[in-house]
Amino acid sequence: MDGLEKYFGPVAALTGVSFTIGTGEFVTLLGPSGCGKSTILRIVAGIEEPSRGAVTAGGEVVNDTEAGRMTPPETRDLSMVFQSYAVWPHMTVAKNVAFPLRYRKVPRRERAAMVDDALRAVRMDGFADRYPHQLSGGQQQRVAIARSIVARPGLLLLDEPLSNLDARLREDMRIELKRLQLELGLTMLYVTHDQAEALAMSDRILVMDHGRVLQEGTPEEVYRGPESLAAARFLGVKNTFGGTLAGPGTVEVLGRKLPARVVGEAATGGPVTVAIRPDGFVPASPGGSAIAGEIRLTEFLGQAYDHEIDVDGVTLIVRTAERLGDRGDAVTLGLAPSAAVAFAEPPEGEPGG
Amino acid sequence: MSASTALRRRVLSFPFLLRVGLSAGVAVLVVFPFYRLILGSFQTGGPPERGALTLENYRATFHKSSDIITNTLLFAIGQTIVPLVIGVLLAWAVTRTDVPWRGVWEFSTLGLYFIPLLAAGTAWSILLGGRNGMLNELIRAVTPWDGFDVNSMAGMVFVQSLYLVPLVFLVVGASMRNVHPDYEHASRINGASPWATFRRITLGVSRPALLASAVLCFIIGLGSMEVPLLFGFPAREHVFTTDIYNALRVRFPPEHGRASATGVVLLAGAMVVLVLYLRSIRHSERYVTVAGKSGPETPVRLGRWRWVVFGLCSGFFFFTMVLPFAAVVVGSLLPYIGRPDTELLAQSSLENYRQLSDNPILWRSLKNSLILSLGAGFFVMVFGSLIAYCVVRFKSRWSRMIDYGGSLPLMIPAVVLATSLLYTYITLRLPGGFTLWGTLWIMGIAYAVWFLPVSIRQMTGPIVQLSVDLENASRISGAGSLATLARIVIPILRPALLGGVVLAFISFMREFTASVLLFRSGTEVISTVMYSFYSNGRLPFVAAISVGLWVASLILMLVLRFLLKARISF
Repeated sequence: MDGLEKYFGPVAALTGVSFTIGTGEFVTLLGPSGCGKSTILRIVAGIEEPSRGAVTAGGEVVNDTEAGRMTPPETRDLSMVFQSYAVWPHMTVAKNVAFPLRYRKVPRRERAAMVDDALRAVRMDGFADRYPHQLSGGQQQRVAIARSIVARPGLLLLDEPLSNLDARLREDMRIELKRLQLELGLTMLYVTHDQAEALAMSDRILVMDHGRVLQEGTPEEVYRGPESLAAARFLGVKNTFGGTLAGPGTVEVLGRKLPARVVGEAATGGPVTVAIRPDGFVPASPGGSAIAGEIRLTEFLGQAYDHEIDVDGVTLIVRTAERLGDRGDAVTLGLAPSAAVAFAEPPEGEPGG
Repeated sequence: MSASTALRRRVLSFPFLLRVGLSAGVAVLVVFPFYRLILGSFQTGGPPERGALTLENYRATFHKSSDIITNTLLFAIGQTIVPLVIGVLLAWAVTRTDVPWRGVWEFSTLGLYFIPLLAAGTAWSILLGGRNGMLNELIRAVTPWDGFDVNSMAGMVFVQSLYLVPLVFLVVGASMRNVHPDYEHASRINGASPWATFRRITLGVSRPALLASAVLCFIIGLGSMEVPLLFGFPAREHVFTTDIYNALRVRFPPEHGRASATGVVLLAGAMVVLVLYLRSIRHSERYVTVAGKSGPETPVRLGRWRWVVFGLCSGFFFFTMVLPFAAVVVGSLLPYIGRPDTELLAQSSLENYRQLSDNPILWRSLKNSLILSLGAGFFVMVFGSLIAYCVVRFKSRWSRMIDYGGSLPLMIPAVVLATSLLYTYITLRLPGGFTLWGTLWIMGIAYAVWFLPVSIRQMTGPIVQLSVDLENASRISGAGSLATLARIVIPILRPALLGGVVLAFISFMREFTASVLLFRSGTEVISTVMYSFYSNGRLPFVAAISVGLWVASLILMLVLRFLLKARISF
């Protein structure tokens, strides 16, 4: 994809998005709803037309607005799992799954076996003669996945396929999807707003906001080294404060000088926004640069505790393995190594400037 | 509390009394007339003197002419297939494609429902009625071809089909609009061409709607009188409806027995189709489509076919709205219908309108039509709402039976309905020697019974949406059942109720089939007056009345559209 742009009327849904996907790669578009990630998927599928830009698949140009070229979806060797599943209600499970085979010119006698294989892969064998209305949401979703993999498409598009499932099923399916991708060697373009899904499954993540790609990299790179405030926020940073750059690698925030990695061009003494993950804090003894505060609220999450801590009128969200104390208790906290990142952006500024 | 007080409380409770009342109403208005019709079809002689049991009536029905069965089937099947094809195409174009002016096509197609079939039929008679039809004259003048006589089986199917399209469009269009675009996208992505997607997915998911509209068209075809009487009668192409008309209104004395036997045969035909239909939709839950977040609406891109489809849409508009309206306008200004040359056109004047405005029968019929349409409209909507309320709120087998009874007329050809009412009320004498026969009452009853199923369906949706807690809150605040109905339920449902009254009013103003069997001197309505002018060869008069109705329909249509757009509850 190159220089993709999409306008709905005067509203720009995508501006200058470019990326490539390698064979067998699992690429995720991660971003809040309305950031344009689904639009990209629909453009790749050929059911939406870009306002400007080109899409190339395996050396063949399938979209090129300059040349006025747009090949119809049925000629692109891909499949898609829709957020709504789009399992056709008037066909049985087997007929739904067999549908792509018919149009991908698979000989009739081979189809039944391939349908069986696909259904077995999503653990839905035995449901072949059911109708969609007899299935639960999770089962329908598996049928949708079976249908999308049965013909071994060159590219599999997934549009928030797990968002309608309950938490338990979502985790199971996440593992199933990754297993299928590895076993079948599928190339996948995955869209989600759930950072956990993106981090767990992807080879590469594109963080998106407001119709543009903010950052691109492996899950570890993106998680550990956010390049913008918006990307940091989206990847789970909950604490952001306005501060000033005190010197190279040091910021002044909450009245204390703290070490921080600085992203972007900021002048010494100039304003920065400091971002710290909830798990970037450790209990510390008072004094020095330690942060003193008072516990307002404690939430037990299972493997960890979340605390809301009041520090001179500013609220910190702190996650620790052990309980720090009860409501009203005073605590002192230090920073974990390289936990703070300072961005040369105003706290509520638009991402990317 | 003793057992008898408990029983008395139960019997005197509001739900119980309401259902008793509705059951009685349905029994008297719907069930009893059918009992009389079926009984009468096996009796000799007419309703005044009750005769012995016989099969003679059925022998007469089938003996009359074997063509009549063929003709009835030909007409009913023809006017099912043609509108189905056109209606599906239009519905698809409007709901699923990027054809230009979609709003216009939707509005004008639905608007066709407003145009009385008699007015449209008049237009086609002016255009294509035999050698003198204006269009036929033109065709003969410029081509070697002889033109097309609308007074024929093909003509009947043609005209009836054009005006059944709105029905198919409405039913199928609503279903297609609900097909999630992802269903089609998923098909395209999996390799199916647009045409295969249309056939296997769009039509596949809409199959229940297709079947339903086909059955509705077929039953309408079995039971409607307008087109067979306008075009079949002169051409001696008889169908069962015109045969009933013949038996009841042309023959003297009327052959009541034969008419009712024919009615029962029609009823049986409709029932066969219905049973087949019900069997085929046994698994309709399969077609329940996903609701939920819809993707951005991406209509099917037609590419260069866009203008072909546009041409088809505008062609339909031209042949149903523009050309017929032009024909009635021109026809209403002429002294007679013939070759539209300068000689004839020079004689155009407003003379027809002047003469009509002096015609007391026309004014009387207009008054009758308005009284009947408003009165029966209000009555049937209240009756239908109460049944719908019962079905939704007091779920029980009894409520369902009332619903089935009230919905029965939907499956019954209109002509059979009218015949059964005629048969029942022709002899019925109320206390005081008052009879219903020959009064506006019997026509009002016919209208109401005919529309009852529609009114029940129309009110069921809004009542289902009405949270029962709104009523519970009222009861808790101390209001009784009746007070809750009057103070809470009815005010909330008022917009839906009034919308229903408007729809009933429009349907009744154009009603012909029952009216023409039940009217008498003094109870004429607009449509029967039009037909008597028509059968006397006064086509320009009918054209003038048609212009009036046409314009009134268009105005009503625009007002409704304005009200709906402005979201003013009326």
